[in-house]
Amino acid sequence: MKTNFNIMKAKILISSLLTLSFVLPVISLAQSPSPRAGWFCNRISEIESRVEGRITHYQKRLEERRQERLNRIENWRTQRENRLNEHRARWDANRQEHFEKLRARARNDTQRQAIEKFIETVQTAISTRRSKIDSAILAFREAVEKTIADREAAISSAISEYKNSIDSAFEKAKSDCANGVDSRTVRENLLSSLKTAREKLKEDIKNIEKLGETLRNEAEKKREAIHSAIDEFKATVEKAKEELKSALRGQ
Amino acid sequence: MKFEKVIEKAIELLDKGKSIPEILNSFPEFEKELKEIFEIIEILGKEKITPNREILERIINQIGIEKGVTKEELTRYLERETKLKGRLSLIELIKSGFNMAEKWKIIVPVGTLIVLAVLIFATQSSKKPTEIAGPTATPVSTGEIARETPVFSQETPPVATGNIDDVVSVVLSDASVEVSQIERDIQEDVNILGIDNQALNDFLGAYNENEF
Repeated sequence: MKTNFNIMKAKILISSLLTLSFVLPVISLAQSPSPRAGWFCNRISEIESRVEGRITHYQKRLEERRQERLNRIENWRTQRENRLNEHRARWDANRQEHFEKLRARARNDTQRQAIEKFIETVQTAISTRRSKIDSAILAFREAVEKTIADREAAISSAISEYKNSIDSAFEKAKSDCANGVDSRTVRENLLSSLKTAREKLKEDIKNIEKLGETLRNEAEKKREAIHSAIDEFKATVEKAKEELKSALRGQ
Repeated sequence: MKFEKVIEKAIELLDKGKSIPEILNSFPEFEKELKEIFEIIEILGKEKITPNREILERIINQIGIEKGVTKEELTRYLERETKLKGRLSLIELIKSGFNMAEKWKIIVPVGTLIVLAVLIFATQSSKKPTEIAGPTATPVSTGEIARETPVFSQETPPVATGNIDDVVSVVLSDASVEVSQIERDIQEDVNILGIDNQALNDFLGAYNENEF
């Protein structure tokens, strides 16, 4: 009887152990982080290097663009100078022909003097106008150079800050992973830091674009200066014309 | 009997008013082929499809028949038959198709395919965007500079007349041309500033949330 009871106790014990052996792993599995979240910590370095690779690529492209801008501006300047000199030489030669024909119309010394006065006034007005325009060109060129320099400095600073923020975010994430912080938490924190860095860069880009606005305003000022010089020039020439006409009529 | 002869004979019988089953019974060894031909003739007849006269004339002229088909040439077989029974000209065409020399039966479809292939290739090629060579031809994004070099003004000054108004006009034109060009230059300088806009904005896509 006692033997039977012992056998029964043994059976109960074995079956209890068997049951536990099935149940315990399930409980322990439910408490551990999900495989997906664990995967994140395992691959964080790979993700970081991918992001770094992209940034390096973007920096290269940005540098290419900067160089392209520099080359274009340099080429343009040479071409513009040549073109302006050619233009002025061509029109100067033509104007001299006009002046010669005008001189040929003089019938007496008074008319000759009036014509010479007119020619001199016009020549002086042209020199003044050209001088003002050249100054405006030079001033605007300086404004362009300054704006480009300011822009490049602002971009470099913004990119550098962005890169540092990204590096710090990844360093923190790697450290958290190593210290056993839950993978999902690490991932969320990293994404949040990256998002903040991105928002900051967006803001910086907006401010950088405002530099373009500054240059546009500068351009507008130069246009106004040029138009003012032209208006003044026109007024001088028109006045000289009327004076000449009057002088020729009087004779 | 050759198949071409059989078709010729069968169509002659059809013209004489024999029924299709009768004709088919007369040529049991070509029954299937003849059935197909009669079906085509029937379909074409129902749809009232008759060949265009001009096209026929052009084809006949192109294949080098001694006399071209004209309205006056009523004695010509095809012309006469077309006038009498519009359907017959089609039958003649079918007959001539079957009578075509063996080599042409290969050359014509192959040639057609080649012409089609060439046409398709030419069409596809013309759709391809033109690529610009050279280091300065890098595509630029929206809002960036599209033009590489400034426009050179080549206005020709007017001929000298000695007239005061003309002299003043020349002097003022000179100023206008110069200023217009300078204004364009200023605008180009303003635009070139943003040439790196796209490259800068690319940084915002340094990471992709989906790969995390």
